Amino acid sequence: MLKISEKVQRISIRGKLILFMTTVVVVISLSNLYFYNMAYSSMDDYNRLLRDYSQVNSLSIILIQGRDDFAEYITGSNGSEEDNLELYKYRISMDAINDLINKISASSNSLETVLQSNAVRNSIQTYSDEINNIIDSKSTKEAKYLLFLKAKTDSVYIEGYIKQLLNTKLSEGEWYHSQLISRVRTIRIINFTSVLILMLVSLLFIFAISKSITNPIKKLTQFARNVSSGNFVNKELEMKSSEEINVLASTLNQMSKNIFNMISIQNQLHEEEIKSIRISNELNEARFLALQSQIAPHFLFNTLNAIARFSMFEGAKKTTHLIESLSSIFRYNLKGTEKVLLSEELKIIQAYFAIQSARFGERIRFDIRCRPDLGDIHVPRFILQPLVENAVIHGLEPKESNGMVRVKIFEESENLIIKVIDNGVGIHAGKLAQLLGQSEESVQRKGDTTGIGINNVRERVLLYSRKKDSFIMRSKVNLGTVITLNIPKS
Amino acid sequence: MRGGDPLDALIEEFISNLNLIHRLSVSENAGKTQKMVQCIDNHIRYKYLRKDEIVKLRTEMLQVDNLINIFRTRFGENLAYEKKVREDIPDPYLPSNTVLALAESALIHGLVPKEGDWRLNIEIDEHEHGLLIRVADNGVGLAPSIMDPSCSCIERKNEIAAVNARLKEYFTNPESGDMEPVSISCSGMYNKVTILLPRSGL
Repeated sequence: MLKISEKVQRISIRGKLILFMTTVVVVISLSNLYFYNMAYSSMDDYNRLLRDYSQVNSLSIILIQGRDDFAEYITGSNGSEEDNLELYKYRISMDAINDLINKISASSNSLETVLQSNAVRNSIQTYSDEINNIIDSKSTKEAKYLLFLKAKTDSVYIEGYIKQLLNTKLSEGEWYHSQLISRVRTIRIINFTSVLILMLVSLLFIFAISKSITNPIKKLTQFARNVSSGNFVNKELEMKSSEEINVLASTLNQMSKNIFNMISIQNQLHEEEIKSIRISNELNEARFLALQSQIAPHFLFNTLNAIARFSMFEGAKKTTHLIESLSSIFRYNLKGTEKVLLSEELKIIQAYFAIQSARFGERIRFDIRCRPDLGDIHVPRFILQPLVENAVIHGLEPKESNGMVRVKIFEESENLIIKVIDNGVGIHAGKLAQLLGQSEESVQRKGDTTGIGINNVRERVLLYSRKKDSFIMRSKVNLGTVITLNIPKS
Repeated sequence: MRGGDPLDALIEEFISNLNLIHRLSVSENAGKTQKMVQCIDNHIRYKYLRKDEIVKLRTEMLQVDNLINIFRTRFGENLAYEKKVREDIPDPYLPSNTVLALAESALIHGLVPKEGDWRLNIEIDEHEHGLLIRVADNGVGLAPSIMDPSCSCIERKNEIAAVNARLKEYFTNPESGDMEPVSISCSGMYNKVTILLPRSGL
């Protein structure tokens, strides 16, 4: 059995919002209805009070009016009943008086008002009987008038009774009014308090609902952030929340799992690639050494030095410089394939540039941009010359003029960035992929002075830096080629 | 250019650089340099670019002379070279880099490591079974210790074995069975490598 809190937690976000809004609307509507009802009820009571006063007051007025009408009837008429307006008015007044006295009796709540209204009723009845006797009497006008005077005295007593009733009603009304005021004050306090409580409860609900929505989202966000930064310490996100969040969490879990698996596979592949590159590198090294042994490098190197001496004795400075450049490349090639100082690589590039400058003259310009202190950084041997050769052979030889090869070296945080840039004919994408995918045996080797292809450089740089982006080659047809090496300084 | 062979590519590039040096030396009137560069160029071209060809013996001997020139230019008159070739002997075909390889091997591995005077004798004469070529030197390397695998002249032995293999492949008659055209001997102060080219193959 799920607990209520868990059940609430599992309600969907939409469900929570609907539940909350409905509850708020219903509570506000009910409280409003209650307070309106209270207000109208108080207003009705007040109206009834006023109506009572008015009725008692009307009773007195109508009584006087009826007496005056009857007085006119007695003094003004010839005593005949028929077609006499004043008598008719008197009778109407008496009907109204009877009707009012009934209403007043009915609305009387206290014993005092009931007794007083009964007294008024009885005395009015007596008064009415006296008047009726006068009307029915066959006496003379003067005798009737005398009887009327007696009845009038009675009516004055009735007025006194009515006044007493009014006073009683007023004092009761005053008490009732004070009660009403107190009730209205209570209603106001209850109203304000309930509004306040409702507001606080609503705020609490809003806080709780927003928390129940945002907390899981925060968790999801943190989890997603961890996944995006490659932190897979917590592989599984445990979430007991609303339906939508649970779906998101489960999807995110699956996604994280898939990414983790993919990264694991990728790492495994990368390790295998590195292993394969290492084997390939060892093979290439063996091939390189075999190649070196076939060309009797020491013999050639010594012979070149001998020729350089001759040319020096003969004063052929340019020839001497050229031979020395070629000789220094030979000597460098004899050293093996361990890592070297960048300055040594640059010296060989300068020797290579000297030879190519003698060959191409103004057709190709060579340029090296490197801060002198960077020369002390170690780099794998033979990474620059094959790239420069590639730029000359594939990029600039087919170009008739204004060729340029620039080697640009700079630091970038903990890495050494080496760029070999040429403005040659460029290589189209298909050829580029083919060039980078070629094995050492299948490389077209025209102009090659090292026996090391561009792919060999790529593999060795990858092996050295263990970063996939450590060798990037970009080329555009008729614009040129840029090869970027990213090598760790330490 | 021969396909994608890295050795060929290296050699071609080297030759190209030699040509460049030669042109420059011409423009700077450096006669000896020109001559030397020319010798190196000839040697490299022959040794590497014609390594799989069949050549005439006298062509091969011209390349040996060229190599001797290079060494004499480098080392001066320290090297005494004697060539005895009978005028009337035939000029047979043989795989290139046969006599040249033996001579170069004798010079580099036999004579250069040795102090004192250097002698290299090459003798070509007729034999009852064919043509006899003898390369003899007074250098180091072909003493009995050569059989010791740790001997520093193991490279020379390998080169001689490679020459033997090439000659066997070219001259051996499948019906007559195996033959060893190259033999090594040491007599007195000379190391001698003798080749017997069978008459049937001449």
